[in-house]
Amino acid sequence: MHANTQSFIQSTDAAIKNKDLQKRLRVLGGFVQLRNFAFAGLHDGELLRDRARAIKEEAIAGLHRHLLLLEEQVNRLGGTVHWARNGDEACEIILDLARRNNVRRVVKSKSMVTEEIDLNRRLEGAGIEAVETDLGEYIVQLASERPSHIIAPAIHKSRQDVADLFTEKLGSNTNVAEELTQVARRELREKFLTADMGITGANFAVAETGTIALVENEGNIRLSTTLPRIHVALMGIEKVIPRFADLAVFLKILARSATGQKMSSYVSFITGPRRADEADGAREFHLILLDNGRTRMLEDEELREALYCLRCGACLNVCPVYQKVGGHAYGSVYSGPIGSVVTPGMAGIGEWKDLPFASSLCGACREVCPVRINIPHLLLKLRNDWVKGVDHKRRPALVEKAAMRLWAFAMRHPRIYNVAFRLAARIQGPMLEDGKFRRLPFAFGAWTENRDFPALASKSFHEIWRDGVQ
Amino acid sequence: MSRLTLKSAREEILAKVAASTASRPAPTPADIERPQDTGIGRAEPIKRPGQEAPAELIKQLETELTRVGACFHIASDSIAACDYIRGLLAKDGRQNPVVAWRDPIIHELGIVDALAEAGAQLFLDDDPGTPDEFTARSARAGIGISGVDYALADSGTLVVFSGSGRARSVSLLPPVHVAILKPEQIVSGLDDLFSVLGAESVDGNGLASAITFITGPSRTGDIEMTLVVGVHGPQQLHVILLATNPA
Repeated sequence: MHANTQSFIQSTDAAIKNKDLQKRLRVLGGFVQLRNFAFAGLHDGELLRDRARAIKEEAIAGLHRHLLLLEEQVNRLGGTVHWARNGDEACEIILDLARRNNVRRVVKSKSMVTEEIDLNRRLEGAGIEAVETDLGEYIVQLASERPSHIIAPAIHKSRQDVADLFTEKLGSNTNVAEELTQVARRELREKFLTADMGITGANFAVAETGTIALVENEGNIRLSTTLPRIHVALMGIEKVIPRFADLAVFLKILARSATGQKMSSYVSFITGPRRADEADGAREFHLILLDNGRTRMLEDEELREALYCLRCGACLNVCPVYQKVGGHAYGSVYSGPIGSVVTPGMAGIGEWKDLPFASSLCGACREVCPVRINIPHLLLKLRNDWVKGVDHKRRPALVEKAAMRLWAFAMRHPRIYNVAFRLAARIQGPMLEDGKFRRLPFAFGAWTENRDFPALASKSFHEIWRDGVQ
Repeated sequence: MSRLTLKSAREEILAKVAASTASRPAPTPADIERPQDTGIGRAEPIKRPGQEAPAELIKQLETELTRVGACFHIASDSIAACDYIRGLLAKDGRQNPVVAWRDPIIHELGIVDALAEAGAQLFLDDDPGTPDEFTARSARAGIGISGVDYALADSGTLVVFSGSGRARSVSLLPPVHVAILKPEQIVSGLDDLFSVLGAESVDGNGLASAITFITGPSRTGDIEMTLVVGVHGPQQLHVILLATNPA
């Protein structure tokens, strides 16, 4: 997890002022519509979400046993299981495999976990070429940027941005989406055919069979698992599910949540390396089970729920904050509502304090989450952790505390409350601009740094109510 | 160095997981063995796998395949199927070789003779060559012809198992993929499929090393969410339903 160099507030400022980005982000509404349409067409969609949730609860509650069974099955099939406590260990495992097998070129398929452990930088540091092969990821890699959306990594780029980038880096001369895609196809096909290792993530890993399931649209994952002689799949330990048949439930809701498709173009179920009588497929299969802060979330009775996440991206698309600032502003690999939970969840609240506060708690994320993660509740929980100073040293906020006490007192004493507010409503005049507070006095000023505060009404609701009744 | 770092990553992760989940009763191992009823969200199956597909199921498959950008063609016999493939070849300019599975369905199709007649070069998986030669042939091919194992009518999905003579590259590397389907391979959807797969394979032994779901040609929306067909996988998917059952 890389550290954020800019504060969230600074990044959001820049994002909101970026007219191009604002235009790009408008397409998110399309995702939301497609998702809603897809669920409307699904018989018993709500029941399926309940079922998916129940399977994830079972998977995590029995995680110890499921991981052991998964390991046993992968080994039995002739694959190799590796365990990594953190990103550094996972990178070392991959580098070691690459060195021992004289790997020069690696093709990678979209995997948030490899972003999480900053694998590309490590591979390149070791003199190994790492090529992102998902079109969006490829664009982002060529531009030396990071993905800004789980499902659509290059959503922040316009067609012309891509055209200019391809002209500069690949010497192409077109700005038509179809032709740009063909340019990438040709460039990357050559890479696929000459790569020694393919690295993928895993959407699911089945304990009972040792199978990993990979969901995609472009075919780059199929190529990464079919052509290079070594396939390395990297997954967080939370991705394991108990049974093969559970996939029927998840496959019905995953693509619908992510892109509004009934089924994505390709789903690959890889069960061990190629068998002796097969013409293609990787000869070696390695599965890396990564912790990197996941056991830390597991430890917390509440945060554990965020481990059910399928990484579908639906909560990003509906989030009014994400819709306004895009993925980069979060400064973390995982952005949007779920990113604001798992980032501090895995790495500690200290460094990522801004993220849980970057939400209006409107609940739209919870509405669409295919496994019904109560994201707003988890954001509140993390805010609470921050205030309590969990995992970090925090200057005691004496003024804030005193203000809250005062507020609590007033709320419990209606008479005092009424008198105070009537008084405030009478004297507020000189501080108002266009009938609003542009700046609140004293320590309350923080509130108005980024927004106005409405003027106090001359007549309280109680008074209006009383008058109305009479 | 602390004592903790002496533990292996495996031991340490498992210990942490055990400590965090011990308080909750995990489902018993028996639960894992039990095949799960995934029959949510469906009416009773229209047909069981292996039975001849009724017309409505074929119709549904056609609708869904068309929706995802695949071409669906019903061939009354293998001659008609070969004619259709030769038509594709003509469009391809007959420049590039064709690759195909070595599989009973390909044999039944009689495509080997049909393509020889048309003067096209055909390579079958298992044709003599170095181990990786077939992949290189697939990479140069214009058309790849495979069979399928199941088709899901309600999403237009082809289910393809890897195996001997069934190279994965046939349905992946050539720009045109032709899939030969038989009526009894059509099932209504995921629930039916997984009930069959579950029964066939309690553990990984029963599963092919790669099972691939193919739903339409390869696609992307990564440039301004514009749908573009034909990224890394095939640009065209042709599904030929071989209607007759050979006697």
